[in-house]
Amino acid sequence: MFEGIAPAVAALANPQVMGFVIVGSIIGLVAGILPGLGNIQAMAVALPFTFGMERLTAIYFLSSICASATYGGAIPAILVNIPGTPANAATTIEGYPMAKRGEGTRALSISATASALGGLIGIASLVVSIPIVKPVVLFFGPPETFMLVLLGMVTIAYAVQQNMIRGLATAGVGVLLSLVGFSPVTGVFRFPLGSSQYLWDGIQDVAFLTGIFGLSEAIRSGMDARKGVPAAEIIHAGFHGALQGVRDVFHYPWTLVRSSVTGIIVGIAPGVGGSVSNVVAYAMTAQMSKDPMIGKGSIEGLIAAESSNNATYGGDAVPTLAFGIPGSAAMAVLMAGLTLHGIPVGPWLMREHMEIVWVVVFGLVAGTVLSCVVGFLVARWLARITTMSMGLVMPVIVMLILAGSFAVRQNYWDVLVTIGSGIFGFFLVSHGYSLLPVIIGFLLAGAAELAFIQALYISEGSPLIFFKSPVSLILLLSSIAVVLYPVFKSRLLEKERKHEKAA
Amino acid sequence: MLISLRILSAVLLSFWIVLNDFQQAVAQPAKTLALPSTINLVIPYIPGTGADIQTRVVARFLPKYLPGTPTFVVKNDAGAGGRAGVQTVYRSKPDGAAVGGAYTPDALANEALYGIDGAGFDFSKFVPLMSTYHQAYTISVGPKVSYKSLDDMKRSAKPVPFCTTTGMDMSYIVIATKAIGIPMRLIPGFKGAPTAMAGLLRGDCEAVSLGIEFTNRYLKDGVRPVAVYGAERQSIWPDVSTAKEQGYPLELEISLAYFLPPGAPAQLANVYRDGLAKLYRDNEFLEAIKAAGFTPTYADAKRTQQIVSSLSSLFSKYAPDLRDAAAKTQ
Repeated sequence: MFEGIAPAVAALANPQVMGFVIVGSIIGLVAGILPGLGNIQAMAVALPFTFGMERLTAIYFLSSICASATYGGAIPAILVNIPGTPANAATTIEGYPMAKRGEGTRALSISATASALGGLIGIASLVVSIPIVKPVVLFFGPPETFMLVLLGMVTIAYAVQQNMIRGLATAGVGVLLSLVGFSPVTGVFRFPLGSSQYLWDGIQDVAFLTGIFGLSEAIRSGMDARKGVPAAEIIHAGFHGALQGVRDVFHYPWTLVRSSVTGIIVGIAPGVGGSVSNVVAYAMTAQMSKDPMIGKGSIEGLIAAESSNNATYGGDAVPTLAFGIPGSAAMAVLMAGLTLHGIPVGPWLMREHMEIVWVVVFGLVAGTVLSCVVGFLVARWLARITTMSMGLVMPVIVMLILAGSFAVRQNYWDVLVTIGSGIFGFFLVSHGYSLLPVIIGFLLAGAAELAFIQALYISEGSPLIFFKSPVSLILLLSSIAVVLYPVFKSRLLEKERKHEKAA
Repeated sequence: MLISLRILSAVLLSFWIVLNDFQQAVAQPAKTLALPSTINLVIPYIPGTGADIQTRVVARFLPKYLPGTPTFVVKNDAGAGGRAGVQTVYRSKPDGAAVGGAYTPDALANEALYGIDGAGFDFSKFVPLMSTYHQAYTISVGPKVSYKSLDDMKRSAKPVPFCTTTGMDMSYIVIATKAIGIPMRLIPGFKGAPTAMAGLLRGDCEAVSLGIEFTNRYLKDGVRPVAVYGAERQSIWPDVSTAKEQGYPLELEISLAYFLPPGAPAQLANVYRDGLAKLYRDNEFLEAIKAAGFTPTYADAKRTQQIVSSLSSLFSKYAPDLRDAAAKTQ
């Protein structure tokens, strides 16, 4: 297991390699900041530039890009309510309210610290699981994946707590939107709306998320003629504010660990990634937290969202390195990078090229840590965006949103989807609906449906398949606990109130 | 508020103008036969797939064998079940600025399933340049499955469950089981061959049908080949008999074809053909392809056209079965 560490460390000690790791981290960070772009696009563009590099250098370079974009995506999520990548959707819910009340520096610093620690926990899990990696990967078949996604879906219970009917209605809309397109299992083309092709692959995540979060916020700012946060109201600014953010994360160690573990498990399951873990970990924390600020700029909620999406990379890397099954689209591009440099990825990688496994591990660690350090250092300057008049900032943001939406597939229709979802998001928020149930429904329903039907195909229609494996059962019990928790919680509170009254 | 809305409107308008200019610039026809300085190499697959990796190596080495050493940009136009990228090339101007690449059986499976109108292209109208990555398809079973031959599978009392992706893999399972007479049921929805292979190892299904090079990677994990759908035994599996040897003369092969849009002039096609022929004699390029885990075979345009015609006949013959199998998964 440890036989490949020495060459991997020796390569990283080379100043030229370290230089490429730093450049890679900055490229990933910038790609994450720009709405619509992420590590997939950044790595795809960077691939041809690695041809002239020595292969370990190239893998370090690509791994560092891969790991750094998710933190980059948190920056616009916090400052202007636009998730830079789909994996930062839940970050907006707590990060943006913090920025609006003048705590942008602190929120960015919390995000950087939680991202770094979450990423490190995720990668540590990868290292620990190396000796037992194959059984771990094979644990997650369609029934287990369905139960895992179900666990995420039941977190809607939190999101609908305040208004059950409204919450379930918006979650239902999210589910319906996720069903648009060709089903790879049933072969049916659903809700084509007259399109023979555009909606084949469903509604695009990036186009939908940037619209519903970013564009709807831009419309609200325009309607309110909103001013920036007055400089006098900025709190926790400067280096002190950034340090405060670091300290905040250590006040919630359990939230950090729980959310990171959620991210790892989601990463190991095939077909679900950071966009799912971010929402699931956030909603679980929101349900369990006693923080009255949840949904209004809670530190704990922000830690959950940002630690989970970065921890997912460790989980994603497990099936990628063990079996050649890409845990996410970003891992597929990383695999392509390995293959182009003469390292075909598959089950023999861990048998024959442990040094490559370690290079990927150290590259992911370096990318995570470096991007977060850069983010931490520039947080206080970036946070000044919130002091500018939104009338000036938002047109630029709108331009970036629309360009980002177009850039992913160079498709005009994606721009229209962004505009449509922006108007839809604006309508929802202005009528008192929460965006969270829509997002949970939209991001999870497709994965749930695929795993559910596939499991039934395997069992020839018997639902008992969902109760056969211990992993499935544990996940099912967790879902039941998540659903029942608010009921017990409210009963306990009621009892406490009665005792108080009696006293 | 009014000012903000005006600014917003101005931004939207300018954005639209920029996009239109961009599209018009892209759509400018070439005035001469000289190759454009930037050429899009369009493939209907996401980054990281086998075709993507091989195409990126081609994009890296091919320029030096073409006049003007143009720059190749690999475009992953992976939508609509693999139809989008092929359509993009089909609709492109035949001026050399767009070159397509696709697994021939994938494109023809789309045509068989949806018809020419539904697929959005007629594959026979493309101008073939060459094809590569010719390798036999195989049928393999999981570690705990007892079938040793195609006859064992044919005699199975229950339909044999196959883990499958879509397109080429599913089509070849349908064609082979129909031709041999193996009772089967499909377990669809696996995203990519590695995921289907994990399903086999997990016991979600009993068999898979995939390319020989890919399947070979999983033999140490217990995957057991039953037959090769090749004309003869393959050098990497000398002990595995062909379907023909087992009494079923069936040949199924993968090939990655490169082509120009319909109507591309012969002179232009020949420039590419010459360049590609030279490329597949370049040892540095061949080593790069091998290092990436692929065997660099080469078939010229004429042979590629023959492969397309022969596969087209095969897919036409089994089109009703393919449509039936697709409908049964609903």
